[in-house]
Amino acid sequence: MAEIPEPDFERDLAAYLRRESKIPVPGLSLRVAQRVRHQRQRSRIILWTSLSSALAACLVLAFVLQSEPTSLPASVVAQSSSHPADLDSETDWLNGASDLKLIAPLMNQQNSFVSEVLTSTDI
Amino acid sequence: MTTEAYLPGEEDAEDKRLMERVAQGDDDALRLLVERHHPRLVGYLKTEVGSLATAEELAMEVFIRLHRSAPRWRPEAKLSTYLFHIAHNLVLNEWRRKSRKPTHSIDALIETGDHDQESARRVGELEESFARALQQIPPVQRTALTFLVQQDMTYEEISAVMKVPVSTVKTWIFRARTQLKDLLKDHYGTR
Repeated sequence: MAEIPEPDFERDLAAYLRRESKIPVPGLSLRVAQRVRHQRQRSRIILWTSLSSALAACLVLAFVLQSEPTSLPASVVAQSSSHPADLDSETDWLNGASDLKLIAPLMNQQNSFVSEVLTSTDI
Repeated sequence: MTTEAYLPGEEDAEDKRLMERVAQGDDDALRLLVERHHPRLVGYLKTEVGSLATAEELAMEVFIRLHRSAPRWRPEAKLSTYLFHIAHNLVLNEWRRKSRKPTHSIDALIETGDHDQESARRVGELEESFARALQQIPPVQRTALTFLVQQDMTYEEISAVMKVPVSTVKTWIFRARTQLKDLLKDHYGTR
């Protein structure tokens, strides 16, 4: 019969903690290398995607900046510059000019409902 | 415990060479580093988190972080100190994530070997008592004691891993031992 050793705190503590001091895991190094490789590939994809997106954005910007002065057809440019009186921004405020033309006869008429509403409304 | 300054040995020189290769993108060097250091890391992590699966996952994360930081790594201390520092931070995160202290399973601990039944029963009881007592002391004290006793680290190394002064490490370990003795007084008496 084996002899039961006397209790020794330091020895027992060391024995308890050291039973798991080293735990070899087969294949862990392969798994780590595999994960590192995946992360590297993902980083490369992200890098190339962002680089190509930035390049595409630069190309679009360059194209827009280059073509902006001649982007409007010559006829439209000529029309807008030859008839400045047609574009009366004050009367065409919020496209209201055409509506005002419709109600103008009623506004001029004395005691009409439209003139009453217009005079009693604060704008 | 030694209190000497860090002097690189042959093992450390090999670690340094491997780290230089890892920094250049050599996956074989990384695999060699994992082979060299993972058993101690997994052992420590298993003691801290209780589950072997979680310990393995955390160990993998340690090496992935090591790989990421390889180009910036400077050999100012042992590589193992750096690895345990990363591992300790991951353990702290794991505890925060789970919002509970680690649990330990007390299964298959008894190796009967030459002992008779009475001796085996006593060893089993003792290990259970140690597991319970270790759960009752503050986690930082338990971690410091684990580094000292299980991983044979010096106070200076523990201080570097846990980023606290050496005096704090000594205090934690002293308190851990005192509290453990108190909690296990049924086994060891009131000494």
